[in-house]
Amino acid sequence: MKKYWKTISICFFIVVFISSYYIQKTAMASKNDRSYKIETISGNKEEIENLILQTSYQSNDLYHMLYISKDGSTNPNNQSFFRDLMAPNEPMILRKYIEEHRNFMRGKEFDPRKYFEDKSRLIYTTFLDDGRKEASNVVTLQIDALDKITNDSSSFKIDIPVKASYDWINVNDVYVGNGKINILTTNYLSANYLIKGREELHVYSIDENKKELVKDAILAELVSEERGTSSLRIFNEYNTTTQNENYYLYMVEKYSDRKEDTELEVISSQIYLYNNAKNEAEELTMPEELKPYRKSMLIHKETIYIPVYSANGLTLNRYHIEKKQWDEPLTLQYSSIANENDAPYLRIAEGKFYLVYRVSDGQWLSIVDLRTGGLIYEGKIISEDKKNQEADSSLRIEQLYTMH
Amino acid sequence: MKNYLKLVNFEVNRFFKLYLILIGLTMLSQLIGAGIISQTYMKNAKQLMAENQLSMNQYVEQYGTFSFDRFTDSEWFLLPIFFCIAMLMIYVFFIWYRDWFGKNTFIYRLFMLPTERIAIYFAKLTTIMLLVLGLIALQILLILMEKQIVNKIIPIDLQSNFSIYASSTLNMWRWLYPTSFTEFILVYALGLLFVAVIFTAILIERSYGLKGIFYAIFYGLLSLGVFFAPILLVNVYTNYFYPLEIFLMVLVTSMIVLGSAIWIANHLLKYKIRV
Repeated sequence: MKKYWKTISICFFIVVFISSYYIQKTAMASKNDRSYKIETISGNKEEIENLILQTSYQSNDLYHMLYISKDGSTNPNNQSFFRDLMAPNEPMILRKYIEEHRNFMRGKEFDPRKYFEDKSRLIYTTFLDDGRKEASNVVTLQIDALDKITNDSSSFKIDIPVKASYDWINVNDVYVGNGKINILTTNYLSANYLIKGREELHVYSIDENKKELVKDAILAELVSEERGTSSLRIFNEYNTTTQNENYYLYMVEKYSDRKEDTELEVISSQIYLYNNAKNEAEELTMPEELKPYRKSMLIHKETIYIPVYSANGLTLNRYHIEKKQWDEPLTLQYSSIANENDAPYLRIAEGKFYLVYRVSDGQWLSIVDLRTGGLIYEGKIISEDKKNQEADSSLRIEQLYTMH
Repeated sequence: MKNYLKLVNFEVNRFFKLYLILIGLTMLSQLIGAGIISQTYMKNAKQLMAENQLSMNQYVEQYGTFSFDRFTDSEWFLLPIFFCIAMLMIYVFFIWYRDWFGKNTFIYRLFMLPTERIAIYFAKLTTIMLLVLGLIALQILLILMEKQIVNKIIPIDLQSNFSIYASSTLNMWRWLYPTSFTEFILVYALGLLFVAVIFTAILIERSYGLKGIFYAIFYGLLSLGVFFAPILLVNVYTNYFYPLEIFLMVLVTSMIVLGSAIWIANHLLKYKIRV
């Protein structure tokens, strides 16, 4: 044994230091972990049955992601190596598709905006090479469809003529109805010595049966002279739904040239609604008093919502698109301690609105029925580690999912 | 098994003196470096505080705190690590060639041992892994000591937060000490795989003489090709494979490469090797 002392001591050294390093590392990592829970204050607990909050918190100068649901919180980055391999971190809404239609989802980008789903079908659309095509006047659009009942999939490609070779085509949404597929895209073209750079908002309408382009509608275009002093904003949700959106709500704003140390001055601000069924856009006029809040507009089904926050709570203004009228606003009284950098999180989904705002010892979650305006659930998101005051203040709500 | 352990011990003994020199140089350079860098920082800080009549807090506000990275990015810290890596890489070749080209053809005696010849191969492989992991373990101890030295010289208030357990602190660290223990095993298993391929390539060269050099290069490239095939496939068919599938493919090709390296080595050692 004595003559083996060199080898034994190297082995001993390795085992002791490397194992203690990893044991310590795991212990330290879990020390930084925080756990939160949703404590029901009033209302039916079933309201949060399918709710998942995607949040982040800051600890030791690092941001950590955390999912909070009725069962507590989980850190997606703390998964084991193998768990990570089984279920990597793709957008939550697509996870179900990967589990259920593993083969169909192969080779597809995990971007919810490119998908459409209804009871019988799952459709994926993509521009090959992201719409880039050097020295060519067509871009190729590929549409893959899965019949969820028979599990058969089909795919076709369409060459779409373009005026110029775009640098990038971004798919914003897919709408499918009446044998038609509408694809809302933003097309980017950077300037060169021949052409001016531009940003265009398109709706490509495809006839599903004939497999051909019916219409390429340009809803808005910003030419490079206006770049930086103009903006295009789409208000439809993009990463929480793959269902049909009957209307697209978007805004084109132009600003005066920015002078040093001055705020941008809005020259014009136009808000449009695009009707997917009729394939037509119309301008929306907004009451003067709501104009300052236009940037926080939300669209859900046939209604546009404009939240206005005050010290006493939230007023949710509503415009019914089909009736073309402003309905009575919904109000929710509360007193928040939030400051400007800490805006409440609001999401409208499935006939309800979900509001999360900061209170002294955590975050408050309210769920309100849109039809009746009644408060149906109230809960508090609190740190399970009561002593950790800092834990409550750094939690930020990034997204709220309603999973089925 | 006993013979294998004896052979490992024998190989460790042969490198031990040089190994102690490597350890000594690393310790010397890093510990002195930690002292010098902290002292230089403190000297500057004190001078600036005196010149501008700053309190410690004011100094931190104006000039920021001392980051441990300043030491770990310095040549005091990095050079000995690179030196050790280089020495061990050379030793991967030397561990075999010294037996042929040493004072007396020692390999002849090794092959005459009443044991399977492949045990020699495994013993050398184990030795290289032990030497590598030994230095990896040493570095953990050293960095804790270095942190103590820095703490002795620079007040904590003047230092930024640092922990070797926090992820993504040091670039070098992330490579040598992957985030989880599973990844650690995988990374070093990969290292073992490459050393095994080099060993087999050396044996090919030793078995076929001049022609053997070409065979060895061909074999090395082929092994690399097999190993990287799934990675190539994944790059051609972007997004097509799921992470678990990619992992399994790499695992299978790694097994093929390792299995064939051992099989070829065994075959050569038994029938082809020239002494």
